[in-house]
Amino acid sequence: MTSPAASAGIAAARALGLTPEVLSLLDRMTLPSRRPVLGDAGQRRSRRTGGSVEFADFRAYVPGDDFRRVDWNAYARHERLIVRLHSADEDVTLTLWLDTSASMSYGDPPKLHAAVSLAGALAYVALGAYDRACVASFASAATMLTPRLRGRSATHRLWVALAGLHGNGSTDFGAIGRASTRTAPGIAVIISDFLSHPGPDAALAALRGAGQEPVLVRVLSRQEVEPDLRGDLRLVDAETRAAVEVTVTPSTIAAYTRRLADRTDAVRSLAARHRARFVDLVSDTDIVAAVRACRAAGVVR
Amino acid sequence: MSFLAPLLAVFGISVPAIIVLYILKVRRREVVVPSTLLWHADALDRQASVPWQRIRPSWLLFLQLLAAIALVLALTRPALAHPGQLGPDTVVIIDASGPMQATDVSPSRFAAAVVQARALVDQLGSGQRMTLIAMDANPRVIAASGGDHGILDAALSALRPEAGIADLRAALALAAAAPGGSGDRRVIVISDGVVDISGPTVTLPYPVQYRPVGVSGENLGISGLSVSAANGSHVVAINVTNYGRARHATTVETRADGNLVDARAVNVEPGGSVEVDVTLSGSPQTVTADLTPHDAFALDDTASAIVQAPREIHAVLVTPRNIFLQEALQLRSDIHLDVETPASYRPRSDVDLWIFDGFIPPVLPVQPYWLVGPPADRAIGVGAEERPGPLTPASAGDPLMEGVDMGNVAVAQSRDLATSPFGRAVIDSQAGPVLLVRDGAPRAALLGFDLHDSDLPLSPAFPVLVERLTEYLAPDAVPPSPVEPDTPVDIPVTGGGSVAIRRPDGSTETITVAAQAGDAVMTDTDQTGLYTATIHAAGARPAVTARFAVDALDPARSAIAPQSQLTSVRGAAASPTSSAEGTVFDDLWPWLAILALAVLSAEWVVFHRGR
Repeated sequence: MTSPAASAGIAAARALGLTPEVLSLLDRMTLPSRRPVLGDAGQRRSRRTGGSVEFADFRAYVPGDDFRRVDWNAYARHERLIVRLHSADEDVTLTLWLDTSASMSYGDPPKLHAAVSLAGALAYVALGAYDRACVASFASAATMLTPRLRGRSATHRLWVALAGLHGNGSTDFGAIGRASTRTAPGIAVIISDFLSHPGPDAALAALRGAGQEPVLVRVLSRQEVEPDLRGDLRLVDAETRAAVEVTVTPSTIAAYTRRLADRTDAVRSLAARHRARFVDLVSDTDIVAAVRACRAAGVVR
Repeated sequence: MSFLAPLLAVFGISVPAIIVLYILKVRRREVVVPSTLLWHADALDRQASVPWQRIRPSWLLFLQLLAAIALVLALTRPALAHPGQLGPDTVVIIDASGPMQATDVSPSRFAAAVVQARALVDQLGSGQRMTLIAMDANPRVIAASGGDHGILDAALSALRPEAGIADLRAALALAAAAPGGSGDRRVIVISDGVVDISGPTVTLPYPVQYRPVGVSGENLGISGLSVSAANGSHVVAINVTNYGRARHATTVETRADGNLVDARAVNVEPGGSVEVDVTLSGSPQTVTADLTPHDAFALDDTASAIVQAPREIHAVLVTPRNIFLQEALQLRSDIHLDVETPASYRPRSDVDLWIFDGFIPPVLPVQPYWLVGPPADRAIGVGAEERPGPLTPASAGDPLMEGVDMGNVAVAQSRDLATSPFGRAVIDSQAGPVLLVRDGAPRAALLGFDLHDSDLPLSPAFPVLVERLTEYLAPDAVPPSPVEPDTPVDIPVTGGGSVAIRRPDGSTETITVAAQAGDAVMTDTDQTGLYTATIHAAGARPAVTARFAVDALDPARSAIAPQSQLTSVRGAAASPTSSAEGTVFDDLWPWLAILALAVLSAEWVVFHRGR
């Protein structure tokens, strides 16, 4: 007998394409972190010294330090305020930033469907490894869809939140930057088509400033990678409604393909500049292949 | 500059139309895409991206306008006008007759005429047409109305001068009837004016321009050559005539069978003539006379003649008795006559001519024969006797009736030949024909009445008629005296066969003769000199060789003085409304079309590279 919440979660998992076989594959994965993160107590050793019992080092007191961590014995011997430092066992918070702008509804299957499926899979990996996970959407504004959840039991709640997303509005990466201060340090995965201007440069800087390790996952539809347009067209931007009149010929398609490659290189370079991992997907990619692409890029292991 | 089709400038509307297309909004299908980010930088063909906007500078627009302007200009056919001598439809008559072989202009009058004709062809512009007519004794179109310079030049290159006298009347008739005629036709005659234009004045509805060729009429030529037998030798009489205006001296060389036998210097006064007599010993077969050195017109400086051996015709008269006929036949010195009775008649092969008087043999002979007053015979179509009435020639101008006056001849009764299939009528009467001849092989004649029933034997016409009939029935193998160039020569071939004729230049022509035809007709006699005919008659008979000479002895040909104008020819005045009169237009449209093509190619490149 399953609870209504569990039933909704199972339905959401089915909608996301997370079949038992896929979940079985995800069970063998975990999130890596290239550096110890400042997080709460968990199964990871943090590079940050903190409140655990394992001594790490001393340092001089500076205003603002917790008085409880002052080593009074050392003060008695040296008459100087010295603070005891302890290494902290901390867990990782995986923040999944999903682009829910109107452009993400494009494609067959829609890019947003591929995005939420991948987000559900990554969240499952995180929660299964006793890390924390939360989901946020962004378009013209950022919305925290879930609090930081912990434990596999929270997976259903997270999946239900993901399954309810739909595309609307225009992309504003600045919304991520503004909301980054409200998220816990950890890994921030941005899943978007990155087809807006300005790009995520400022958002990545803000995330890194907030102690987050950014990961960029770009999702494009097959129709964007290989356009099947022909003739005299008036192309209307799904987000801005701006129109461009184009007479599409094979040479036009070739020029578009060259510009798309240039755009891909630009996003890849941006990721490298911010020490972020980059994963490039097409929306009709199978979820297993998508997860394997993430593992190949080091997003999971 | 002129525009030959100015009305087509209406297509200039295409220029503003192109501009309008650039400011009209193109109906485009609307497609929603995730982002136009990657389409923004596209180099678009900016046709009417905004309605009625100000036109932005565009290479495409510039090239399209340039191409349209070039095409419209090409359609209006701009042309550069300059003075010319051709109309839209020009007929050029080039004299290719014998006198044009004169070399008083270098290299010859004919070559100079061809150079003039080529110059006219070079002036031929687009839209102009030219017809070329070669004028000699038999004028003919050598290039039909057209504007292809290659065809016209090729026709001129293939043209060769003949030896005959130009028939200007026929050439002008040909020019008037040439296809492609239009109101703007004009005729240009390039000639020395030495032409045959006898008869009434020729009036053409087109302007006729005469371009004389030649500068001098000085010419010394042989005007006569004859060979006669006398006292066992032959005497050659050579007449040398001075057709010029100055006294000339020359040497007359006489050759017998190719061997020089006499050379005599003579002086000939202007317009005068000198006869040179040369006595030949032996029995030469050919005689050739030459004037040395040759003057500017060499065609009449040489003449040849055949020395005819005395000819003998073996004729047999089969008659009960007809002293009139026998006497008349024996008047010809070349006829060896035998007289037989019908009872002693037997067919023989050594007979050249049979005359059957009041008798029809059971089988008609294969040799020529003449039936006189035959009995009724259904096969030949000889009917009952009737009274013919006055006799008249069946057709005017029949050579057989030349010098034969039948006006006072009376015939008591004659056989009915009205339904006879024997041949064509020569002498007719009220009751029907009385003399028929058959032109096939063998030749034959049928006289419907007995000479004793007529006073014909007593009239002067009788020996002449017998002479004509026997000449017709047993003709010479070839003409006994020289013939003029381009004169057809009949060569009898009894019973059919073939004739191989070797011309003076050594070329050979073979003529096949059907059994019914009787004669081979040699028409290609434009060369002067000796022709040798080898006659292969049908059957096993041995080949017979005969020769004849072609000489240019006609004074009308030798009087080569170029004429300053054509007499007896009147052309219409040039039309004052003819735009082409005296003007040649060089069309510029091909260059404009090439420019338009190049611009359109550039526009295609710009269009596709810019996308």
